[in-house]
Amino acid sequence: MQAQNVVVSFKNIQKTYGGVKAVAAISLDIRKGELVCLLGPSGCGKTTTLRMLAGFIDPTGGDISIEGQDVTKLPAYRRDIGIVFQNYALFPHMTVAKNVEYGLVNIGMRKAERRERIQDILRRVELQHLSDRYPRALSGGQQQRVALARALALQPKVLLLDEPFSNLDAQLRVRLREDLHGLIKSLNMTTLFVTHDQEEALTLADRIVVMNQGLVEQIGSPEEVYDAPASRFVAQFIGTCALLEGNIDGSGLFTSNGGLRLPTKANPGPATVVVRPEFVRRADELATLQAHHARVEASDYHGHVSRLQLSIGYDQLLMDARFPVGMKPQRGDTIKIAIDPGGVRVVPNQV
Amino acid sequence: MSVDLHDRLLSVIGALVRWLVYAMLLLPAIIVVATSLTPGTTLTFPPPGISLRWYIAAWESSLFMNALGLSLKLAALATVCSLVIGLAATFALDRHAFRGRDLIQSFLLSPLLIPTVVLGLGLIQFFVWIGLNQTFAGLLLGHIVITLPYVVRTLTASMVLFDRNLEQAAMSLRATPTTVIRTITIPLLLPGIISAMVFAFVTSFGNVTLSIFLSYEDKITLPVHVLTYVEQNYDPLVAAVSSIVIFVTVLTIFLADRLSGSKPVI
Amino acid sequence: MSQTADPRYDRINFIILIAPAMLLLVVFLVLPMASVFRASFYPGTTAIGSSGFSLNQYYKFFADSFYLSVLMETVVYAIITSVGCLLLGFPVGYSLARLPPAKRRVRMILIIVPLTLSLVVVVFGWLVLLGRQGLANNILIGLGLTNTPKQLLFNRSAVLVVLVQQFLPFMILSVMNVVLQIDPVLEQASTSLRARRLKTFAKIVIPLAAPGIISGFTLIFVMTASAFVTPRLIGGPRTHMIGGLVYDEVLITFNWPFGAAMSFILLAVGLGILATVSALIVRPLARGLHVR
Ligand SMILES: Nc1ncnc2c1ncn2[C@@H]1O[C@H](COP(=O)(O)OP(=O)(O)O)[C@@H](O)[C@H]1O
Ligand SMILES: [Mg+2]
Repeated sequence: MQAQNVVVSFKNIQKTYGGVKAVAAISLDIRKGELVCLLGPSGCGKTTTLRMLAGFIDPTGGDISIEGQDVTKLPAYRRDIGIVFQNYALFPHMTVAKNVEYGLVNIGMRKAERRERIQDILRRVELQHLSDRYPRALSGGQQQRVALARALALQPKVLLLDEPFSNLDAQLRVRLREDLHGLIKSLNMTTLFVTHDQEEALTLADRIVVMNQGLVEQIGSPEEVYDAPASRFVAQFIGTCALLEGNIDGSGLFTSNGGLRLPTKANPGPATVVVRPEFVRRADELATLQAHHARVEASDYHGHVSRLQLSIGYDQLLMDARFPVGMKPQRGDTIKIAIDPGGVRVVPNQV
Repeated sequence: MSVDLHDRLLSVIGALVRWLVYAMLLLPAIIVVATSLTPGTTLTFPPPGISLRWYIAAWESSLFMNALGLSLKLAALATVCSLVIGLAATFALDRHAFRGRDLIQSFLLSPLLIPTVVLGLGLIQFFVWIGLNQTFAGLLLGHIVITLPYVVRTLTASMVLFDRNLEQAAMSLRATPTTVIRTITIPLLLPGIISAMVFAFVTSFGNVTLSIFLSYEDKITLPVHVLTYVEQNYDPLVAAVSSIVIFVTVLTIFLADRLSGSKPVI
Repeated sequence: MSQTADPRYDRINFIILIAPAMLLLVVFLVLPMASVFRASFYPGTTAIGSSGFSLNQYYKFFADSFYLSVLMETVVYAIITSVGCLLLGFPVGYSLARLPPAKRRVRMILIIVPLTLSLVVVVFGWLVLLGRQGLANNILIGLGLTNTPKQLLFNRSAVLVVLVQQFLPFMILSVMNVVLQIDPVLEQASTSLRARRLKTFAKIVIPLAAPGIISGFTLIFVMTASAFVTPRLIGGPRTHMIGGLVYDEVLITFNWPFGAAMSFILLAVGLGILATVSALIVRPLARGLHVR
């Protein structure tokens, strides 16, 4: 990675509130045009991190720089960032156009140029026909786009988004997510995005920062955090999985405490293994592998698949599978399954 | 669903009480205005005819007109002072969380709960000691003290509803703190500020219980004049003067309601 | 504004903003009250230039049955007025809170105008209304209930009516503000559980509205206890309340130490009664009345 490509750099950023660590220590570089997502459960410190970058919260320790310039002590209005709030924070006493114009006036842009810029940005978010409306006369989705337009009008170095879809209904959420992704990418906008919704993070982000209790658990591409979780927390927070505790011997064979054996390529020692439900298959689909007899403890129908809770001896597994009509196993049945070794991940045991 | 007889009765009683209350609240003011229009020399209701002769008499009474001028000036000054002081204090309390904040807030509201006779005695005695007795400054200070709680209470209520994200959004759009206050904070708090000013103004303008202790010689407020006049004798002249007080009060409230736009003032 | 500011700068900012208000109240509220308290212990009849410490003023008050009876009467007036305001103000405040905002806005003006209208004007209105040629007497004569105008002024009932009228808006607004916070769904839930309106009120609305009721009650009690304009003008020379006595001592006989002592007796008795009322009546009210 080339240093001049880095737009935002957090160096060991911390924030404590009266002794309680909201953010313990975060170091992160965001490259030009990259869409990075802070993902974690509610209260893990995502908003605090975002607001420290915006300049609304003073870090207790560490440095933040934007394009190489240290901004840690710079007030919010001197940082080149744009932000979209969870509730959008549109100025209720100004029309859509005035909201977008607000920042342009503050940087002393001339009127003609302002008008052009407003036109341009409103066209991009498809709101030009609503430019004289007041925010309260807009739908949630439209408000979100105004907020976005207002932030983008200043062409900031970084765009910050704090749970921008949480106030929208499920259908709209997916559509706006795609629109937003297209817009940000077409502008090559460097973006830091906060969410607690793993699906949102997986579909949008170039890189995901998984946070837990003020700490970074893992930084990686969506594929990395899903396929190679760095911790039990990441494995459980992103997607669904079964966790098995056990030991790995010299040949890489994992033996769970319940007795289930799975081949791995990991080093010997105590280990936790992650098995995602889509890698547990019917034995007839993976005939070359060792089959296990599993007892069905529960089954839920999810439409495209059925999710089964299985027990093999003392070990619990989850399985996503399709069954022909009338063939779906019931609670108490015993079925034969095989585990795809490609889906078995070893997670380092926490110290 | 069958309508319970009890519930029926209750709603009838409720409606009766409401109309009784509205009538009772408005009656004194209506009577005053009505009787002030009499062409005769006695206060009768309903008046035998309609004339403005007592308003002309009031206009020509330098006693009442001077008092009206004083009361308006006093109310305006008290409003401005207590708005400035109260806005600063409410803003500070709103923006800083600390232990004891509720205590300070109650302290700022406490003049509302001090009997005015007691405050009146305290103030004249204290003013005698510090040499402010029988001065306009003393009168004004007293009025600032009693209007402050209205300002603080009204502004606190409107600040609670204020979304702080709006200020941060503005700052992220390169607005300096003074620009934020000028373009976001003040405009959005304006309905609250106007209603605080209305309360302060009408409270000061109509006050008699404290003014009676602090008025002196030629600095006697209109309500105090009306009071002393009514104690001696009452005639349509004082009804006309009282009606002027009513008009000023109603006009202030009405204007403020218009001024603040779509948001209700009170 | 920004929390990025230096915390020391932030503290200075806070002090600068809060200082004028604190200073104003300390100098022109706390100090005067303290000076009244001090004056109540002067031995003589004048406060200026006095010194010494005695309980003379308090002896004088408690040794005289006249003062004691006025105190009693004042307390009775204050209790009746507060209760009257509650009974009349609650239904109005409640119904205002349940009106749609546009309608409420209009009715609010009907409450705000009497609230802020000068007390003298209100009292004067009542004088005309209840006077010999006033509306009330005209109606009585018109109905044939009396042939000659009756004296409706200068008695206890008249004083109570006027006190209730002038303080009603405070109760209405207190109740309205607190009922606005109560989700109407709670009442619907109660009704759907077969509770009659009265029971819904007793079990749901009144307990939840208790804070507003208490604050309205307290304010009205204090204001009535120290009223002096209304008893003077409506009650006439034979109606006595402590507020009026203090007023006389301060502005007519100039016996400030005795006025000061009466002020503090008024404050102490008022606070004592409010505490008792809150312990005996309001708290049980807040827990929910027992209505079958
Ligand atoms: N102003 C504050 N004072 C005290 N604690 C705070 C404050 N702001 C946030 N916190 C705490 O810091 C933690 C992280 O908060 P936040 O960054 O808002 O989490 P997230 O956005 O991930 O849900 C939470 O435990 C929260 O309670
Ligand atoms: Mg958050």
